[in-house]
Amino acid sequence: MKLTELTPEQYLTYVGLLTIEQKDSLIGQLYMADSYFNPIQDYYENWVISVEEMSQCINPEFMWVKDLDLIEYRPKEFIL
Amino acid sequence: MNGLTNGLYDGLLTGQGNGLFDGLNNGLNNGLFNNDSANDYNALSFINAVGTLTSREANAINVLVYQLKYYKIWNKCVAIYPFIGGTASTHKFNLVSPLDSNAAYRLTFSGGWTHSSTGALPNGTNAFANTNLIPNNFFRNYNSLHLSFYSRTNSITLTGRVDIGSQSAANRSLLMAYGSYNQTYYYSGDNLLNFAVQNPGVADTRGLLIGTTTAYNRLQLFNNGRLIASDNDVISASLPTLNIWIGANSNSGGVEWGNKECAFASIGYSLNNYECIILYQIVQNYQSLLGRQV
Repeated sequence: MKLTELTPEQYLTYVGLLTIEQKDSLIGQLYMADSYFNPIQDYYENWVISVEEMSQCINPEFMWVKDLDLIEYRPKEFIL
Repeated sequence: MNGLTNGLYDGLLTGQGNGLFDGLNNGLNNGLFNNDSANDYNALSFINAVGTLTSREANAINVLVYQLKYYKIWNKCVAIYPFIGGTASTHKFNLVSPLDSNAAYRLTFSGGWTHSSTGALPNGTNAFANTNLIPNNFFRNYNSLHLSFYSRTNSITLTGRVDIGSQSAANRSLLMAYGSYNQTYYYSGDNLLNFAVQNPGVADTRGLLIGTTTAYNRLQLFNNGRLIASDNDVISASLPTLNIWIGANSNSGGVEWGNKECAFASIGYSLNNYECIILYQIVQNYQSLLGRQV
C-alpha cells in the first residue's frame, strides 16, 4: 500500500517502511521547517516513519519518502 | 475520617479558589487585561520573535503574560509554551525566553505532528517535542518544580501515553499523563514510591493538568483547577538526566507516545494550591480569547 491510497482514518495504523540506509539518511534531517524525521523501530525491529512525516515532507532531498511502502504498525512493548 | 478531611479540604480549596476567580473575572470585565495598547515587554518580545501572529493572537499573549505576572506565577515559570500561530515554527517558542535557541528551551519537534491554530497534535507513534531542559541540570530537587499540560483531546487508553515528562531510570521519573493506563498521574521521584495517581483517571482528558510538589514533600495533581490526587512522601530520588519532552516519555529514545493535542504547557518551580487554581483560570481565559477552550 502507498501513501496516496490511505484514508485519514488509516493514518494511525500505518507507517512507512525504511531500509537501514534510508533510516540513516533521515536521522537529523528536517521534513519541513522546524520538524525533524524520527525513524523508530516497530515490534518486529523494522525501521519506520509516520505517515505524517511522509505526507508533510517538503524537503526536496527527501521527497522519496512519499513513495515508501506502508505496513501496519505494531508498537514495541515498553517495560522499564 | 480521610473522606471527611478530603471533603473539607476540597470545599475549602474550591471556596477560596472561587473568591480568587471572581477577582480575576472582575478584572477582565473591567477591561484591566484587555488593553492592546499596553503591551507587556515580555509579550512584545515573544510577538516579535514569532513574527506572524494576528492582532487577536497578539492580544491573547499580552493578556496571558499580564495575568501570569499579576498573580505572580510568571516568575515561577522557566518555560511556557503557548502553542500559538499554527505551525511548528511558531509553536516552538518559549514565552519566558523567546530566543530561537535550544539554550532558551525552545521546542524541537520530531516525528509526526499535526500543527494547527488549535495547538500541536502528536500522532501517538513517534512524535515528541524536546524542551531541551534537563531537570537534573536546572532544578535542585523534586520539591521545587511543577509541570502543566493543556489537552484538547479526550482519549483514555490502557497503554502508556505520557503527555509531558522525563525519565532516565525507574527511580528518576518526572512524568505526567491524562488517561494513560486508564489513570491520570504525576510521577515525581522513584516510580515505585513517589506518585499522585487518580485510578481510574478522569473521565474526560481535556483541560489543564498540573503536577507539582511542595516544600512539604507533598505531591499534588490538579485537573482543571481541582485537586484530584495527592501523596505525602519524602522524595530521595535524583532528578532525571534526560530532557523533558512534550508528547512522550523521553526514556530510551522515546516510549509511551502521547496522543493529546497540546494548547499550552509550562515547566517551572512549585505552585501552591491557589496558584494551581489561578493558573487554570488564566490558561482557560487564554484559550477562550483564541476560541479554542475545552
